[in-house]
Amino acid sequence: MAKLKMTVNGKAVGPHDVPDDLPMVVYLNDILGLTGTKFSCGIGVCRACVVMVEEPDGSITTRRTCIAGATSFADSKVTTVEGHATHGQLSAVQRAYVDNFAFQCGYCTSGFVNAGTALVEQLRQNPVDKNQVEQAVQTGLGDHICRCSGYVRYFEAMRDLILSDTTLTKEG
Amino acid sequence: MRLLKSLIILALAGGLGYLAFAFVWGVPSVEQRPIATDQAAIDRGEYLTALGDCTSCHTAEDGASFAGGRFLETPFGGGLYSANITPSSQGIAGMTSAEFYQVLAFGADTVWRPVYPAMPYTSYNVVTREDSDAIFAYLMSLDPVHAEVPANTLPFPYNIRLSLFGWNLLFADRSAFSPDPKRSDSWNRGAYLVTGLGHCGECHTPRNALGAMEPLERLTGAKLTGFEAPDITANGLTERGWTHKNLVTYFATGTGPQGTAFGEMHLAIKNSLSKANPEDQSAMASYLLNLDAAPSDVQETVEQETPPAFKAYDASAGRSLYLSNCSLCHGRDGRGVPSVMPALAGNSTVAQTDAVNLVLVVARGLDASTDYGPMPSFADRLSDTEISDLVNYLRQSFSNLDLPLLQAADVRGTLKQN
Repeated sequence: MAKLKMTVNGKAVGPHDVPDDLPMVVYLNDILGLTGTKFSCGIGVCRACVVMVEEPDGSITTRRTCIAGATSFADSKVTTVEGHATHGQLSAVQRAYVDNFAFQCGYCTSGFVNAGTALVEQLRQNPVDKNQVEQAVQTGLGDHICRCSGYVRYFEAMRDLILSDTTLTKEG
Repeated sequence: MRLLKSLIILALAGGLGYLAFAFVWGVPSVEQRPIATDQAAIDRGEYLTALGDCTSCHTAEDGASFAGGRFLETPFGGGLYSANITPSSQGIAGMTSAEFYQVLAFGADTVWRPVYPAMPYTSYNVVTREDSDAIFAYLMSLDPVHAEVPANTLPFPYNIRLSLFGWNLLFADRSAFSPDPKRSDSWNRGAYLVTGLGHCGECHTPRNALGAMEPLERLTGAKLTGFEAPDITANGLTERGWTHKNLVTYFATGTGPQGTAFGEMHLAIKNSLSKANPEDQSAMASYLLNLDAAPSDVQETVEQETPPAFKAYDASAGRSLYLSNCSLCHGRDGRGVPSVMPALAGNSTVAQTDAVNLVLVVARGLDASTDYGPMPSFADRLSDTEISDLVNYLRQSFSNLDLPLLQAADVRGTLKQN
């Protein structure tokens, strides 16, 4: 057992007594009641369970919560799908997915929202040439699986969103 | 002035002498034989080509089979591109079966263009002429692929091909395979395949400063680039828990109780060993474990029914790291999930003495393979101290060997060198 505390969606949570091998997705779903993060393949392949993590240096990464124990997130700053909308307004990434009809069943969507938002934040810190945007989207979201096959719409939503924000690209 | 003149004469004489040596000794003459075109020979050649794993080196990533162009990094800087071995003008069109055998077994069919020993003629010397002819018949039956191979990027002086005859004189064995009459047919077949077409020693035998295999350290494990090829002597294999049955399973599927094939070995299993017939797989396992016959299933079952008794190892830091980072896939007890997640308990990589491969896999992860999902990398998440704690926990808990404990500096050193 370990005493676990972290920051989730801007709020301090814990300390909770949790087993060392409690999966992070179970911690989010069952202990914090944040059920937007989905358990799917359970072996780190589909990335439905991806959350965003802010590293101590301020950089944003993503992590899979089905194959990582909650204790490996100790003292981290985590953002789940519940943490994106503010005052009832969807985030730009969420709005882009909705506008492009990117998802159907929605099971993979929280992973795509977190990966897409992490990509936007990474580009804000390190903009890429306009002609490299498609490659950046491919790298950022390419490993995510969508069984309803919404790939093209997710891809187009992210590409158009990035190209419409001049702070994310530079002239190439 | 006189000294300079003498030196120039000496150099010229030396050069001419070396050239004469290359002409006389460099390319052994072999008899000319027609190319077999019957289907039986071609089929046999296809099988032997798989056993020789020609495709793994002679096919570039996403390239056409056997069309060459795969970059092979060398420890001397720069590298080599594998040859196109399809019957096209950029490949082996116009070659004779004698020339093919000369390249395969002796590394040269002409004094002017010997091949580098990245082509394992240092092992293929034991391949029989009949097998060479069958492989040639198969390759010549393929559709020609018109693909130019890029020029090699070896630095001076390694780019002087003629120097290879001197290297060959010193290090390349030219003797044919000689069966050991005291051993079984299966053992001898295994010896022929392991030392010849299988060219296992090319990765698993340490090399000297000039890149030649150390004959006294055959199969004791070595490192060229990236992962280490482990010790596959009978002692080394037995120590790490390999049995005949498990080796055969590993050859056939790339997986088994002692772990899964990754890195270059994944290719060797996929393209070669899994395509060997059960008799040849069994023969290679018999030779490697130094057995005259495969043990009966009854014997091996009894052996395997005894569950491995792993030592209790008090390492709370390592255990916490294991539970939180690894156990969700590999299981609390390290037994994995059959066909989905490799077991760590009894895993041969965990039991390697110097832990190089274990540290590299933990730190850098592995790409997905045909059977298994990707292994995440932990270098950006765990410190060197945490990796050493974790690796010590794995080694002490999931191997029965008395393995030395690693320090953070060992992990740092391994990651720096690789």
